[in-house]
Amino acid sequence: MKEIKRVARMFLPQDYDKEEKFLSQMSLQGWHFIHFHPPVSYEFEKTQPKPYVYKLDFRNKKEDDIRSCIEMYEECGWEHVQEFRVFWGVWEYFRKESVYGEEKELFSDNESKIEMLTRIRRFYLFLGLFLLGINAVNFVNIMNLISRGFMSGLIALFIYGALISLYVKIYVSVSVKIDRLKRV
Amino acid sequence: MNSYEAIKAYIPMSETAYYILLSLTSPNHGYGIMQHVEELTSNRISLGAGTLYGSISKMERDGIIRFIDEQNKRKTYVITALGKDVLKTEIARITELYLNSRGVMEQ
Repeated sequence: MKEIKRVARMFLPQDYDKEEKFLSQMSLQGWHFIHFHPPVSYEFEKTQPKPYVYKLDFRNKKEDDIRSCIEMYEECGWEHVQEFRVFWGVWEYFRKESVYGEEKELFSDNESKIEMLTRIRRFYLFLGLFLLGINAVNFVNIMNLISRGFMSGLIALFIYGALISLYVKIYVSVSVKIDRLKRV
Repeated sequence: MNSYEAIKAYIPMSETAYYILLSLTSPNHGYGIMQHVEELTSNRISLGAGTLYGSISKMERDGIIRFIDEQNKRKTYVITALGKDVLKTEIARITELYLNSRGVMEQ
Protein backbone atom coordinates (compact mmCIF):
# COMPACT_ATOMS: atom_id res chain seq x y z
CA MET A 1 0.00 0.00 0.00
CA LYS A 2 1.42 3.30 -1.09
CA GLU A 3 1.64 5.93 1.55
CA ILE A 4 0.67 9.31 0.15
CA LYS A 5 0.85 12.65 1.89
CA ARG A 6 -0.36 16.03 0.81
CA VAL A 7 1.30 19.18 2.03
CA ALA A 8 -0.23 22.62 1.68
CA ARG A 9 2.26 25.20 0.53
CA MET A 10 1.93 28.32 -1.51
CA PHE A 11 4.10 28.49 -4.60
CA LEU A 12 5.77 31.88 -4.94
CA PRO A 13 7.78 32.38 -8.12
CA GLN A 14 10.43 34.52 -6.40
CA ASP A 15 11.04 31.73 -3.87
CA TYR A 16 11.65 28.91 -6.33
CA ASP A 17 15.00 28.24 -4.66
CA LYS A 18 13.26 27.67 -1.31
CA GLU A 19 10.94 25.32 -3.18
CA GLU A 20 13.95 23.32 -4.40
CA LYS A 21 15.30 23.04 -0.85
CA PHE A 22 11.90 22.07 0.53
CA LEU A 23 11.50 19.22 -2.00
CA SER A 24 15.08 18.02 -1.41
CA GLN A 25 14.56 17.97 2.36
CA MET A 26 11.31 16.01 1.99
CA SER A 27 13.20 13.41 -0.08
CA LEU A 28 15.78 13.01 2.65
CA GLN A 29 12.92 12.02 4.96
CA GLY A 30 11.68 9.51 2.39
CA TRP A 31 8.87 11.65 1.04
CA HIS A 32 9.33 11.89 -2.71
CA PHE A 33 7.59 14.55 -4.67
CA ILE A 34 5.03 13.24 -7.16
CA HIS A 35 2.89 16.14 -8.16
CA PHE A 36 2.05 19.72 -7.51
CA HIS A 37 -1.64 20.56 -7.71
CA PRO A 38 -1.79 24.33 -8.12
CA PRO A 39 -2.11 26.52 -6.28
CA VAL A 40 -1.24 25.01 -2.88
CA SER A 41 -1.14 21.21 -2.77
CA TYR A 42 2.01 19.08 -2.94
CA GLU A 43 1.71 15.34 -3.20
CA PHE A 44 4.42 13.07 -1.83
CA GLU A 45 4.93 9.35 -1.78
CA LYS A 46 6.76 7.51 1.03
CA THR A 47 9.63 5.23 0.08
CA GLN A 48 13.28 4.93 1.08
CA PRO A 49 14.97 8.23 1.94
CA LYS A 50 17.16 9.33 -0.98
CA PRO A 51 19.37 12.37 -1.34
CA TYR A 52 17.60 13.84 -4.33
CA VAL A 53 18.49 17.32 -5.51
CA TYR A 54 15.47 19.12 -6.91
CA LYS A 55 15.80 22.01 -9.35
CA LEU A 56 13.33 24.24 -11.11
CA ASP A 57 13.65 25.91 -14.45
CA PHE A 58 11.31 28.51 -15.83
CA ARG A 59 10.70 28.71 -19.56
CA ASN A 60 8.56 30.66 -21.93
CA LYS A 61 6.67 28.55 -24.46
CA LYS A 62 6.81 31.34 -27.00
CA GLU A 63 10.60 31.58 -26.89
CA ASP A 64 11.87 28.15 -25.94
CA ASP A 65 11.60 24.74 -27.48
CA ILE A 66 10.51 23.04 -24.25
CA ARG A 67 10.89 19.51 -25.61
CA SER A 68 14.53 19.90 -26.61
CA CYS A 69 15.20 21.72 -23.35
CA ILE A 70 13.90 18.75 -21.33
CA GLU A 71 15.83 16.34 -23.56
CA MET A 72 19.03 18.21 -22.92
CA TYR A 73 18.44 18.04 -19.16
CA GLU A 74 17.70 14.33 -19.34
CA GLU A 75 20.85 13.83 -21.37
CA CYS A 76 22.76 15.44 -18.51
CA GLY A 77 21.25 13.06 -15.96
CA TRP A 78 18.25 15.01 -14.72
CA GLU A 79 14.89 13.31 -14.30
CA HIS A 80 11.91 15.38 -15.37
CA VAL A 81 9.40 15.23 -12.53
CA GLN A 82 6.67 17.68 -13.35
CA GLU A 83 5.57 20.53 -15.52
CA PHE A 84 3.51 23.33 -14.04
CA ARG A 85 2.00 25.62 -16.65
CA VAL A 86 0.93 29.19 -16.10
CA PHE A 87 -0.53 30.48 -19.35
CA TRP A 88 2.46 30.63 -21.71
CA GLY A 89 5.01 30.15 -18.93
CA VAL A 90 6.16 26.76 -17.67
CA TRP A 91 7.88 25.68 -14.49
CA GLU A 92 9.86 22.50 -15.08
CA TYR A 93 10.75 20.37 -12.06
CA PHE A 94 13.83 18.17 -12.28
CA ARG A 95 15.63 15.93 -9.85
CA LYS A 96 18.86 14.01 -9.67
CA GLU A 97 20.30 11.72 -7.06
CA SER A 98 22.99 13.66 -5.28
CA VAL A 99 26.38 12.16 -6.08
CA TYR A 100 29.55 13.64 -4.62
CA GLY A 101 31.46 15.74 -7.15
CA GLU A 102 28.71 15.80 -9.73
CA GLU A 103 27.16 19.01 -10.99
CA LYS A 104 24.06 19.76 -8.93
CA GLU A 105 23.06 23.07 -10.45
CA LEU A 106 21.12 23.67 -13.64
CA PHE A 107 22.90 26.96 -14.13
CA SER A 108 26.63 27.02 -13.66
CA ASP A 109 27.40 30.64 -14.49
CA ASN A 110 26.01 33.98 -13.39
CA GLU A 111 24.92 34.92 -16.88
CA SER A 112 22.52 32.00 -17.23
CA LYS A 113 21.24 32.46 -13.65
CA ILE A 114 20.43 36.06 -14.46
CA GLU A 115 18.76 35.00 -17.71
CA MET A 116 16.44 32.64 -15.84
CA LEU A 117 15.50 35.31 -13.29
CA THR A 118 14.91 37.77 -16.12
CA ARG A 119 12.53 35.28 -17.77
CA ILE A 120 10.61 34.97 -14.50
CA ARG A 121 10.47 38.73 -13.99
CA ARG A 122 9.34 39.52 -17.51
CA PHE A 123 6.69 36.80 -17.55
CA TYR A 124 5.10 37.74 -14.22
CA LEU A 125 5.21 41.42 -15.13
CA PHE A 126 3.29 40.72 -18.34
CA LEU A 127 0.93 38.35 -16.56
CA GLY A 128 0.20 40.93 -13.88
CA LEU A 129 -0.47 43.66 -16.43
CA PHE A 130 -2.54 41.26 -18.54
CA LEU A 131 -4.74 40.30 -15.58
CA LEU A 132 -5.08 43.93 -14.62
CA GLY A 133 -6.11 44.77 -18.19
CA ILE A 134 -8.80 42.12 -18.53
CA ASN A 135 -10.17 43.05 -15.10
CA ALA A 136 -10.40 46.76 -15.87
CA VAL A 137 -14.17 46.47 -16.33
CA ASN A 138 -14.55 44.79 -12.94
CA PHE A 139 -12.56 47.56 -11.39
CA VAL A 140 -15.06 50.13 -12.68
CA ASN A 141 -17.89 48.00 -11.25
CA ILE A 142 -16.18 47.76 -7.90
CA MET A 143 -15.81 51.53 -7.76
CA ASN A 144 -19.52 51.87 -8.54
CA LEU A 145 -20.40 49.48 -5.72
CA ILE A 146 -18.23 51.41 -3.30
CA SER A 147 -19.68 54.76 -4.33
CA ARG A 148 -23.15 53.34 -3.64
CA GLY A 149 -22.00 52.19 -0.22
CA PHE A 150 -21.86 48.41 -0.72
CA MET A 151 -19.56 46.46 1.60
CA SER A 152 -18.94 43.87 -1.15
CA GLY A 153 -17.22 46.60 -3.16
CA LEU A 154 -14.71 47.18 -0.39
CA ILE A 155 -14.00 43.48 -0.05
CA ALA A 156 -13.44 43.18 -3.80
CA LEU A 157 -11.16 46.21 -3.72
CA PHE A 158 -9.19 44.61 -0.93
CA ILE A 159 -8.72 41.41 -2.97
CA TYR A 160 -7.65 43.55 -5.88
CA GLY A 161 -5.09 45.38 -3.84
CA ALA A 162 -3.75 42.11 -2.44
CA LEU A 163 -3.30 40.68 -5.93
CA ILE A 164 -1.57 43.79 -7.20
CA SER A 165 0.80 43.85 -4.24
CA LEU A 166 1.53 40.15 -4.83
CA TYR A 167 2.70 40.93 -8.37
CA VAL A 168 4.66 43.97 -7.22
CA LYS A 169 6.30 41.76 -4.57
CA ILE A 170 7.28 39.19 -7.23
CA TYR A 171 8.79 41.92 -9.40
CA VAL A 172 10.75 43.52 -6.58
CA SER A 173 12.02 40.26 -5.06
CA VAL A 174 13.20 38.89 -8.41
CA SER A 175 14.86 42.23 -9.21
CA VAL A 176 16.73 42.12 -5.91
CA LYS A 177 18.01 38.63 -6.78
CA ILE A 178 19.13 39.83 -10.23
CA ASP A 179 20.95 42.84 -8.76
CA ARG A 180 22.71 40.66 -6.22
CA LEU A 181 24.02 38.41 -9.00
CA LYS A 182 25.07 41.36 -11.15
CA ARG A 183 27.20 42.72 -8.33
CA VAL A 184 29.21 39.49 -8.07
CA MET B 1 24.55 37.25 -38.41
CA ASN B 2 27.56 38.19 -40.49
CA SER B 3 31.11 37.80 -39.30
CA TYR B 4 31.36 41.39 -38.05
CA GLU B 5 28.12 41.18 -36.03
CA ALA B 6 29.01 37.78 -34.56
CA ILE B 7 32.46 38.95 -33.46
CA LYS B 8 30.93 42.05 -31.93
CA ALA B 9 28.29 40.04 -30.08
CA TYR B 10 30.51 37.23 -28.81
CA ILE B 11 33.88 38.81 -28.06
CA PRO B 12 35.15 38.91 -25.37
CA MET B 13 33.64 35.50 -24.78
CA SER B 14 32.46 34.01 -21.49
CA GLU B 15 34.33 30.91 -20.35
CA THR B 16 31.14 28.92 -20.85
CA ALA B 17 30.73 30.02 -24.47
CA TYR B 18 34.42 29.61 -25.22
CA TYR B 19 34.62 26.05 -23.96
CA ILE B 20 31.37 25.03 -25.64
CA LEU B 21 32.60 26.39 -28.95
CA LEU B 22 35.96 24.69 -28.46
CA SER B 23 34.17 21.39 -27.78
CA LEU B 24 32.22 21.75 -31.01
CA THR B 25 35.22 21.97 -33.31
CA SER B 26 34.28 18.34 -33.83
CA PRO B 27 30.63 17.16 -33.71
CA ASN B 28 29.36 16.64 -30.19
CA HIS B 29 26.16 16.45 -28.14
CA GLY B 30 25.19 18.19 -24.90
CA TYR B 31 26.44 15.59 -22.43
CA GLY B 32 29.60 15.10 -24.49
CA ILE B 33 30.32 18.82 -24.32
CA MET B 34 29.84 18.76 -20.55
CA GLN B 35 32.31 15.89 -20.12
CA HIS B 36 34.81 17.40 -22.53
CA VAL B 37 34.84 20.71 -20.65
CA GLU B 38 35.29 18.89 -17.32
CA GLU B 39 38.28 17.03 -18.77
CA LEU B 40 39.84 20.15 -20.27
CA THR B 41 39.54 22.11 -17.03
CA SER B 42 40.19 19.22 -14.58
CA ASN B 43 36.63 19.66 -13.25
CA ARG B 44 37.08 23.35 -12.55
CA ILE B 45 34.17 24.07 -14.87
CA SER B 46 31.20 21.78 -14.71
CA LEU B 47 28.53 23.12 -17.03
CA GLY B 48 24.96 23.02 -15.78
CA ALA B 49 22.36 21.54 -18.11
CA GLY B 50 20.40 24.78 -18.21
CA THR B 51 23.48 26.85 -18.96
CA LEU B 52 24.38 24.40 -21.72
CA TYR B 53 20.89 24.49 -23.21
CA GLY B 54 20.75 28.29 -23.14
CA SER B 55 24.16 28.72 -24.78
CA ILE B 56 23.59 26.08 -27.42
CA SER B 57 20.19 27.40 -28.49
CA LYS B 58 21.52 30.96 -28.64
CA MET B 59 24.57 29.92 -30.66
CA GLU B 60 22.41 27.90 -33.02
CA ARG B 61 20.10 30.88 -33.51
CA ASP B 62 23.06 33.13 -34.27
CA GLY B 63 24.48 30.61 -36.74
CA ILE B 64 27.83 30.04 -35.06
CA ILE B 65 27.01 26.36 -34.50
CA ARG B 66 24.57 24.14 -36.36
CA PHE B 67 22.47 21.09 -35.60
CA ILE B 68 23.61 17.94 -37.45
CA ASP B 69 21.39 15.07 -36.36
CA GLU B 70 19.50 13.46 -33.51
CA GLN B 71 20.00 9.95 -32.18
CA ASN B 72 18.26 8.53 -29.12
CA LYS B 73 17.04 12.03 -28.24
CA ARG B 74 20.62 13.28 -28.32
CA LYS B 75 21.17 16.21 -30.61
CA THR B 76 24.56 16.62 -32.20
CA TYR B 77 25.98 20.02 -33.07
CA VAL B 78 29.09 21.33 -34.80
CA ILE B 79 30.76 24.71 -35.24
CA THR B 80 30.03 26.61 -38.49
CA ALA B 81 32.41 28.65 -40.67
CA LEU B 82 31.07 31.76 -38.94
CA GLY B 83 31.71 30.14 -35.56
CA LYS B 84 35.29 29.37 -36.59
CA ASP B 85 35.82 33.07 -37.45
CA VAL B 86 34.56 34.02 -33.99
CA LEU B 87 36.67 31.37 -32.26
CA LYS B 88 39.84 32.38 -34.17
CA THR B 89 39.33 36.01 -33.19
CA GLU B 90 38.87 35.05 -29.55
CA ILE B 91 41.93 32.79 -29.58
CA ALA B 92 43.97 35.70 -30.99
CA ARG B 93 42.67 37.91 -28.17
CA ILE B 94 43.49 35.36 -25.49
CA THR B 95 46.93 34.79 -27.01
CA GLU B 96 47.59 38.51 -26.81
CA LEU B 97 46.56 38.51 -23.14
CA TYR B 98 48.84 35.59 -22.50
CA LEU B 99 51.84 37.05 -24.34
CA ASN B 100 51.46 40.42 -22.64
CA SER B 101 51.36 38.84 -19.20
CA ARG B 102 54.26 36.45 -19.66
CA GLY B 103 57.16 37.23 -17.43
CA VAL B 104 55.41 40.01 -15.55
CA MET B 105 55.21 38.17 -12.24
CA GLU B 106 58.82 37.00 -12.39
CA GLN B 107 60.24 40.49 -11.93
